[in-house]
Amino acid sequence: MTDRSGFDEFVHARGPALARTAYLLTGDHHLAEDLVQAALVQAAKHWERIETSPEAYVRRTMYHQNISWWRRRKLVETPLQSYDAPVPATDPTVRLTLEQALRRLTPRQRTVLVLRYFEDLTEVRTAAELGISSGAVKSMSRQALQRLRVLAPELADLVGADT
Amino acid sequence: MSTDLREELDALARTQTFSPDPSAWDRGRRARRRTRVAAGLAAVAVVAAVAGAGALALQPDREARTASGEVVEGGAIPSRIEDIPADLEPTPDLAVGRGAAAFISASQRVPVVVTAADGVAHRLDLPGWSEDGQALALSPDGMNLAWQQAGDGGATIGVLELTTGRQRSDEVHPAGDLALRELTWSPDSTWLGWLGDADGGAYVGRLPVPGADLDLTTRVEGNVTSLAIGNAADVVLGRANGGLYRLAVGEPELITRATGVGPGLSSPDARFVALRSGPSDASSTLRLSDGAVLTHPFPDGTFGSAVVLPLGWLDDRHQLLQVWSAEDQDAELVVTTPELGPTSTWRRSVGWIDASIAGRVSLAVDLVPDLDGTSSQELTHDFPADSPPAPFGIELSLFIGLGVAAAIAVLLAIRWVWRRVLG
Repeated sequence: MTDRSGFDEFVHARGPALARTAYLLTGDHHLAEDLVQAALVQAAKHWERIETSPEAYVRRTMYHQNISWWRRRKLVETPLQSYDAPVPATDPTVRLTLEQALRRLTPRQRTVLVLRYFEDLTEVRTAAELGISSGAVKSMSRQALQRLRVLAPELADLVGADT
Repeated sequence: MSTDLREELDALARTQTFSPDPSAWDRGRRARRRTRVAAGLAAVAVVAAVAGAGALALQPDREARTASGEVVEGGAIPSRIEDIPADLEPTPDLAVGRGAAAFISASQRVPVVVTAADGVAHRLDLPGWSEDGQALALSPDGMNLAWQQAGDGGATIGVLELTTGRQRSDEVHPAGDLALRELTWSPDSTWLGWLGDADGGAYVGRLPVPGADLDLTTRVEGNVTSLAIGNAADVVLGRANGGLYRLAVGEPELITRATGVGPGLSSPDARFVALRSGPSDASSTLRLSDGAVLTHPFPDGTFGSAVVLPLGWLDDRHQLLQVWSAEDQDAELVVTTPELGPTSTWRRSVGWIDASIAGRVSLAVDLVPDLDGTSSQELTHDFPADSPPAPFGIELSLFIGLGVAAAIAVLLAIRWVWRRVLG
């Protein structure tokens, strides 16, 4: 199997899953596409080194790239007003409420949340993926859930009661 | 909680579609090639920078090397003349090459010649040199070195051709002990004047170089302090109780009764004699036509009071002086004219002589370049320090630079192999 065909096979097999994670990380469909493509370009660049386990590399690239992009966007975008105000419950479905609330989390909080509750990683694995301490993961995870409760009180059943 | 949240997150994530970008692979590979090219260029730049920095940093006396201009044809006088270290071995071959400076080491009482081509000091093992020797003189052209040879009663002057190593000896006072006190050269390096004491009187002599069988020794009554000899073998001498005299048949002829000064060096055109003087605020020159002692005061803010010792004439107007303001301070080389006037010159810091050997140095003034009228002209040269060792015949700085470059290349090669082998 050549490098190119191996890469194509990987993209075909794992691309949709990577895109789903990217969407949860970014909260935006277009950004999610860009994030996946950027990570795949990086994977192609280093394919000889990562071809035995490309997915871990691509995911880690997405986590860090997303936070890096957010930092750059933060410098040029206007901060939201009434940042912690509850999302108006105009959308009837829980899913849309969750989607909007997720967008109001910081990228690091959202990333921790995705890794912990979507990817089902342990605190230790999450910390290793993000290059931070387990304590920081625990703290950010708790903060993310608390903010979800504040932003979307109707998600209380989903994220559990405040402790 | 987490199960429900995971289900909702999963459902949310499934709203994202995926359409692979077929150009991702090509973009990644292009980026890889660009990175490799950039890394290669960076490595080359690093190697070049390290090698260059090493070569620059390890050049001996880098600042000194860049401080001065070109070495004049045939060599130069070092900008700083210092005594030799105690462990300097004698140079076995006396043909050291054209000299720029000569002096008697203050610490070891041995003759030293600094060569004009490289500024290196050579301790010479001159035949007949005695630790009591006081007379050593380098000719203005730097080709000959004269010294007193210790003999069995008579006084002998040795002259060494520095480029060939040839020597000659002239017994200038066969009868009785004679202690040579001074040797001095004419401006064109063809005559050697000498002064010694014997039998309660002074003897003044003139020796042609290259040698000719001439008996030009004259006995002078009284305490003669110093002498100057011109290109025509004309001699001016000074007496301890004052007065400057022209050596003549019979008694010396009085030129001036000036005190506090003594003959130093005759000018090439025989119009002046630069005078040595005790502590004063000016340099002095004897004008032979009328016996006037001309003075050139030290400019304000330079020397308050200093001892002046002429070291040579650069041309018919400009003289090179050693000016020594205090015994514990280095002496400065100063270029000046006999007197202050519209076209006069006074330039200090042309060079320095270490305090320990100040007053013992003679210079090959012909090595000073013709003055171009600018104050930035380098009249002496900052020679680099001793050359570092040269491993495998390669200059040390270049050797280190190449070594660092080779080490970097090996590391890059190991990294490349490591990546190829381990993926």
